[in-house]
Amino acid sequence: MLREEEKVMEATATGRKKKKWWMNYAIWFIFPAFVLYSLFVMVPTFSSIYLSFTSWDGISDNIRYIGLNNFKEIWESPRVHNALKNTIIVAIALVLLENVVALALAILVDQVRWFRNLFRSIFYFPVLMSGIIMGFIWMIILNYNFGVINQLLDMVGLSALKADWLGNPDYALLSIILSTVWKASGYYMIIYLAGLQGIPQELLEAANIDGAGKWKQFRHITFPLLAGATTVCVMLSMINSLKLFDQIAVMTNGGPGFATETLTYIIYKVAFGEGRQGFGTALAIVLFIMIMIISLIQIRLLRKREVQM
Amino acid sequence: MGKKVKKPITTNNVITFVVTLLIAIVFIFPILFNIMSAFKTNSEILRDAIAFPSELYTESFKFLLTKTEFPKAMLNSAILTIASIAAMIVIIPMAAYAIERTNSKWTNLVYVFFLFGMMVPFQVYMIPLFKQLNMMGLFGNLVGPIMIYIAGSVGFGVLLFTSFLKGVPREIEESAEIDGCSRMGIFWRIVFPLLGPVTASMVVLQGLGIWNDFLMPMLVLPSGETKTMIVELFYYVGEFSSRWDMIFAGTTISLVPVLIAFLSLQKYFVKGVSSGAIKG
Amino acid sequence: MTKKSILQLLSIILVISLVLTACGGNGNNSGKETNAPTNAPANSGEATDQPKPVTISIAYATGDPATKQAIETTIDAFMKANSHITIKNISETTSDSYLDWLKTKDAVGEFPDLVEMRDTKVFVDAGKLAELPVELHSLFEVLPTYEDKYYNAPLTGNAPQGIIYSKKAYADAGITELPKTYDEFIGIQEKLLAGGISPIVVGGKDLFHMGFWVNYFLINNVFKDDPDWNSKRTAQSVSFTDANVVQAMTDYKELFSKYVDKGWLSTGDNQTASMLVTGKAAQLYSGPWMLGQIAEADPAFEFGFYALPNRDGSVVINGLPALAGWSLSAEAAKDQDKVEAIKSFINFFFDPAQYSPYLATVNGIPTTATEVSYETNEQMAEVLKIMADTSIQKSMMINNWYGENAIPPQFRNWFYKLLQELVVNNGDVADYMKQSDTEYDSNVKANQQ
Repeated sequence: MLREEEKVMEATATGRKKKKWWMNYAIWFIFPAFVLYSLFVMVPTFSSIYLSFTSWDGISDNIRYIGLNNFKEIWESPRVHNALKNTIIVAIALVLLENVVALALAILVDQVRWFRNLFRSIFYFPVLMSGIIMGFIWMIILNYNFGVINQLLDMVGLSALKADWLGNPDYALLSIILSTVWKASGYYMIIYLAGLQGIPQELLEAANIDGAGKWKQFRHITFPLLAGATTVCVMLSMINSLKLFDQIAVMTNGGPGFATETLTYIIYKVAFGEGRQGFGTALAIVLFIMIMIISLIQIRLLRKREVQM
Repeated sequence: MGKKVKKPITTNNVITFVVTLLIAIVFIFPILFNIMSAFKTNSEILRDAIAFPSELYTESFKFLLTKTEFPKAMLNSAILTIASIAAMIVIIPMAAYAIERTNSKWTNLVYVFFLFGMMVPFQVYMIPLFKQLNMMGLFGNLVGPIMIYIAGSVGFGVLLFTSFLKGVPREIEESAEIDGCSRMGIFWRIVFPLLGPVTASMVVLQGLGIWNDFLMPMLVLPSGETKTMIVELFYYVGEFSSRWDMIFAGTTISLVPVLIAFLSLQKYFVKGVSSGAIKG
Repeated sequence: MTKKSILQLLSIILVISLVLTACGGNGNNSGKETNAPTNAPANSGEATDQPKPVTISIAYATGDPATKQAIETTIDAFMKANSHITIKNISETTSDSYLDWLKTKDAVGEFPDLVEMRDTKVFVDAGKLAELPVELHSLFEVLPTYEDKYYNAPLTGNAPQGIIYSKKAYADAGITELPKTYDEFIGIQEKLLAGGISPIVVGGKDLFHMGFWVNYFLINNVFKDDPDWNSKRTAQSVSFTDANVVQAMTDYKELFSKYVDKGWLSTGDNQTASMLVTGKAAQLYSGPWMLGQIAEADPAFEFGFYALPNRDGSVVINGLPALAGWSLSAEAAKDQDKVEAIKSFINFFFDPAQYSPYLATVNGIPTTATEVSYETNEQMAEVLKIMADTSIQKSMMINNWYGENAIPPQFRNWFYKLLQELVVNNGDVADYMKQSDTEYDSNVKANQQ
């Protein structure tokens, strides 16, 4: 402690020494986080980069270097292309729907006169569930023979609309998307709510007086002022959607056929599950690069928009 | 709270309310369905999914709570979550503070280095990580996952805190500095208390993630002894796979702690999420 | 934190040594005295005066509750009879992820000493398994070989699949006789369909369940006449587009398009029992392990079992032993005490006194040289009768063949999924078979890297 006090006096005296003193403490402050992070995230990540150039099966002691063959296979495999297609469809659909629904819910909750907190809690609660649990519940609700949806359709006489929501390739991906929207929207709703509550009432009142209707108010005042919240929500929802896994594993197993296979699914179930660790790691790295590129593009676009606003 | 002028009830109010109510019903339905089914017997569920239980059948609950490892698994999940969060609160804000205040080349480098980790999917480094854990003797007890969770939160946590810190003025710190307070003191006694909402945010988000985590605990915690709640639930689904009554009871039980935490910490949940994100 | 782990370690060691010394002293003697002749074969009797305490770890897939229970019972009984041997049961995972779980265990050096092996080839190639001790060979009727060596002590014989049918559904549709040919079987499906019930329930969501029907067609059209078809396919001298395969897959497509319950793609294997007992479907093509599940779902449900014949009336079933069973890990084989303990356990496990109740619980087919029979119900009796019938040809599922006939491990799941798409998209069989050829070849190539 004494040494530090001396340093304070020295520091305030000499500008240059001040900088060095700052750096000293910074090292110690950062040290624990840095060590843990490097040790438990970065080191294994780099080990695995090497693995992606091998044909390791995950068990044998013999690891064979095969150069770029894994990546070549990824480039050529129709199954990977299909998974890629699904991953992108799911990501775009989820980002769009989650944000639209979240914003709509935020507006409703903001405007509703009674039981506001209760509604907010109800919309947020699904966020708290584990993806696995949510998957089970929805799987049972959507079950063809014993599920709720089909039973309801029967009850209102719409039996013709009954379908195998998770087993029919036309509906399976949609079912996963919609149930995930149910689960995730609440989180983004909270962020949009905070954004809404930060919009000065005077602006809206002034517009009202000027004769602008609700929709015009929204388009020209509210929405632009939500730019910050939008950036955050779109970024987060994109990253999370690209990494979606639990629901697919539980609800459809990537099926029917290959209809709901995404990159995360094939990385875990196919590559790791079928003894192709090297190939799986290569896939994971491709996914990671994808996430990075998309995130960077998003940041640039969204930040630019924020500045404009 | 502002002006408490009693405005007349407009048609808009009513419409908004009804719409919100309908959507809320749709939203809460799956959870109600879950809880309701937990009190039915298996054949009741199969026969009629929507019907109310004819009587409160609690055998599934009793079984899960007394004859299985479920309670123990919940305890493990709780230990994991609390320990990880406690450690996170100590080391992450510190690091973010140092990075944000010392705007030098190398701290910015560290910042980007940390952010990297947010985008790496777990599957990429899963297996080498386990081998590593084993080498270090951390495989098989709760310490391993705790380390992993902390390390995994560094990226997101630092992002959150640095964004928020941008909005905290330095003047307060400078006066304390002149008074002779050490760096540690300044941080913990002055800055940290101001970080309340963000800390709450991180605690809630990461805590949830840890409580609900499935993949990693399944592969890392060893046979028989320590297991977390979600993993335990998953095994029971496998074991009682045709016993939907068990599954529902299990998921209901697992939702109880989350519900309790949510209801009591509601203020922080919401405040934390919104303020942390907006300022960023 | 390191201090804590060291403390933990020390206390565990202390406790274990206390327990072992306690057992080693008194327990062992009293155990021997009360040992009635019915319990335990020669091994425990021949134990020396002070048998060294040995601990072996054991692991098996716990997906099927009946099997899990039965094995646990055997382990407990064994430990009671051999108190110097402690069997640490580290099993904990469903059959789905069993391979995954073993790989993780191995990655951290916890590969079990005695392990239920299902992917023998993978682990032998990786050098993780030791050969089955010679003394145990005589216990079994048939032992599968891999590269001319024995690695497995098969727990149960490969159980044949057959049609499990609801007696009520058959009666309601006016079916009085079991079909003698495949065409008669289709006729029955038509009658059931006309009566308004889903003829067949399929747990299509679980790929292994897909395998039952797919392999019925493959076995009856391809493997029946050519058990070496797989090796020829690898050598590219035959193709999926050959007439026999196309016939098999066309039959499959037709059956699934017309007579299988509409929700098959999202029905899990674990729901099929419910579908039967609630009357939503009339038949299920599966194996004897389902018999217990169905009886448990509804003890009053009346059902039967029969093997499905093919067009010419002959019956071929998948009854050949697969490359699976108890295996000894290479690590454990280095420790002579462990090897003795394991041999002792295996002998115990397959001794009729133990094996009989085990088989009864899991509805399994005995693999031992000595005849083992057990009290069983009507359906299981039928299964056993089929297995004992020497006129019935035995074959194997496409992915169970080994040696030269092994297919690339990653092919099976892809193929089953493709076949799902074949039905759903109403695809052209020949075209899909061509895709199968391409995928098969590329899998073979990938594995050679």
